[in-house]
Amino acid sequence: MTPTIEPETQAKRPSLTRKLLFRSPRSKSPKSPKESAAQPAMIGQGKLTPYMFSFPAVLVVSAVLAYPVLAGIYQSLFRADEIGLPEEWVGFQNYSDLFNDGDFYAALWRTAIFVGGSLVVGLTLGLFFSFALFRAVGGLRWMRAATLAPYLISNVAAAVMFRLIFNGDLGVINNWLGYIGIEGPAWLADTRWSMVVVIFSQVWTDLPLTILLLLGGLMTIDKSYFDAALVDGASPWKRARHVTIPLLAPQIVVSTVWLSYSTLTGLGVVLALTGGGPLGSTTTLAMELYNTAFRRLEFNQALAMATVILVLNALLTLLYVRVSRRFQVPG
Amino acid sequence: MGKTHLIAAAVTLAFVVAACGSSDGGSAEPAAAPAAEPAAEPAAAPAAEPAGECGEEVDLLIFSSRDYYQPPDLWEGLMERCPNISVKVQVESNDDILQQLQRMNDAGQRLPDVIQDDTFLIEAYQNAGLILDHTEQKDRWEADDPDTYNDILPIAWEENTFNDGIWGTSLTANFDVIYYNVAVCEEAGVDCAGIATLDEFRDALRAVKASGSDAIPLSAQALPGTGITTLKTFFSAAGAPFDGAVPDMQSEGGLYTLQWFLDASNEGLLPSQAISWGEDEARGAFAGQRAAFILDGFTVAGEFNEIPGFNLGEGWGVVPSPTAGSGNQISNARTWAITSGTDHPYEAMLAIRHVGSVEQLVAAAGNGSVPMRNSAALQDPGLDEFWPFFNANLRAAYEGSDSVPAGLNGGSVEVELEKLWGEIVAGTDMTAQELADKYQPILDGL
Repeated sequence: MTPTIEPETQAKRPSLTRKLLFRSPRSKSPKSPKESAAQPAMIGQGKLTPYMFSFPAVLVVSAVLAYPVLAGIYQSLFRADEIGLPEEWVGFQNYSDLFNDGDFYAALWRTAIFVGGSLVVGLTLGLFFSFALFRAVGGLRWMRAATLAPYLISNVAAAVMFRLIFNGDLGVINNWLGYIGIEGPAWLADTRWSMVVVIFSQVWTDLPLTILLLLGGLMTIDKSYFDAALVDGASPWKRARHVTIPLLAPQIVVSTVWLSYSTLTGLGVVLALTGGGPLGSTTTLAMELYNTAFRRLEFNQALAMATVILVLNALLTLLYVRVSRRFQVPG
Repeated sequence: MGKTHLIAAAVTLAFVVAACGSSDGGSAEPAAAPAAEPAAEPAAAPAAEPAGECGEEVDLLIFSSRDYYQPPDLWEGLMERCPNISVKVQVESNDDILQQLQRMNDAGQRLPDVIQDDTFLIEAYQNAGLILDHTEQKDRWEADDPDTYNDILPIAWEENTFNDGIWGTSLTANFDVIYYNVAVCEEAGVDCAGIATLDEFRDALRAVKASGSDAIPLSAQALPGTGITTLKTFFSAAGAPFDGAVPDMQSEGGLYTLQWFLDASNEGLLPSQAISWGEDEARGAFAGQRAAFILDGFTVAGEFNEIPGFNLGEGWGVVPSPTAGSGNQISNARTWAITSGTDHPYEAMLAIRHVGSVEQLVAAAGNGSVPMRNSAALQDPGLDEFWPFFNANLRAAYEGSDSVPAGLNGGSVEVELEKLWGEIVAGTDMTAQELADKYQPILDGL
């Protein structure tokens, strides 16, 4: 993809919008070395100061977050022959078994569909609703608060609700379809539809936070950019594409990372809605991890799987950040 | 030094001597206590000879997997009868008591005295050295109180007997029964109360289908994680032998079971939508009178009985799950075990004996608990109030039921059986033999 705005190549005569977008953030000229040298360092501004201040936080974060992760990775290098027997060091055997297991790749593929589908639907709906709510003024502002409602419901409860809604016999969806003469499918019993329902339900539970992030981003954009674009005669679509979305890139990245994380590790919706069925069609990596840990009771193997999910999450986050840099406005 | 100081010194000495005594309290040191007459009583108490009926002064810590497995009096009866025993219970409902105990053991923490968990996990506890052999305490129970001991069904011990020991007591166990809709049966001209064999059951389903009833012949649950008990119950009922938790699907009983369900699925007796049904949908279909039959746990009867206008006898009835050949019903238990961390196995066993008393078991029935492995409690007239459907036929089936086939690989076996169950319910072109050929090697490899 190419950057949305390239001032060097696009316009011969810079528009007001571009002038505003690409103005230097620093209006003052930097101090000369002489001036800097002449100014004495303030107390507490030594090189080590930032590290000293951040050390307690780093320590706490390490203890609370890093330790369990590292302990989990360490435990994934062990295995017990039977439940209850002592765990023995097996090196990377759990990983080797995982990567030689066809079920793992099938789950990986379904996870890709789940994450990809949730990202596309979630971000599209998130942008749509955040733009709409950004426009909501006066008496309609309550809608901004109302959109948070799904976030207040636990995702397991939401999944149970969707199980009823998508019930092939008694569900509301098929009842509605019946009114217009369409015989709805057995959503949750049909392998062709089950993942669609799972994605829809997952997006429904995650959408409020996405909207909140994007709406927050929209509110921080300087209004002068929109005014300038209006003066330049940009259409609403062009304003969104060339002004709003580039300036919203950081929030889009955060939303993408959040949605991606939520779906990659998300278990509640899948477990309560389909349990990974029918016929394994919604068995994602998180679901496979659950089965390995809590049904097969193979905890060390499950930790290996958790480590793989952790790495996947990290890689995806890096990818999103890298891609987003191409869309960000320089400066 | 005054007299008071002398007495205090003597008391202190007596406590020190008592504290240094052996754990069974049977050492000779307490003899020092009489030297200080006024202090003799408090000093001697902890070191006293064990026991009367209630044993020693002890704080028992119990880990239980569900709150409804607690005795209905919440141990008050035990603590009143034995004031020296104080019971504290932690309900650990995350199904991770075994893992918790392993971590506690590794960290050198105090283990609870008693645990209560799924029976199939008891072997794992024993593997990990976390529980004690029950044999001595069981024998003591028999010697102390032969009447109540003899009420306990032998299966309560038998299914926990392995590796040269008895590792727990399974006092309660659920079991599956067949519920039928009386009106649908009458409409189809079937004597549902008389169904005893799997062939008769299949014929009844066919009759319901042929009658043109709107009702689904058989409601079932096949949502992953919920429905596999049905398949295991049928394998056992058809006489398929088990190796631990693994059924022999190539056996006559195994192939019969597979064919039974394939017929049910292919003939529309079992809806393919059941692949996405959990407990709620499957029971809802029956309770909503949209299904003729459902195989479900015994305790669900109480819920069906609470539906207005759908009463026992007129609305629904219940029979033991049918069998074929040498097959038998199975009951699925939870087990109480004494941990290796306790210093008071006798008192721990007293707690288990309290749970197994007729009074507590009958009261638990009123709280929605499962049937009990206690012959006196099973015959108690008080049960009629809570379980009016628990007729002589069901009692006999329960008392004669076998344990659910179990093994340490039970969880992995269930996951694979679920795939097989899903294929059958969703509909497959494979034959019973082909399904057995496909899944048996997978199960054998677990």
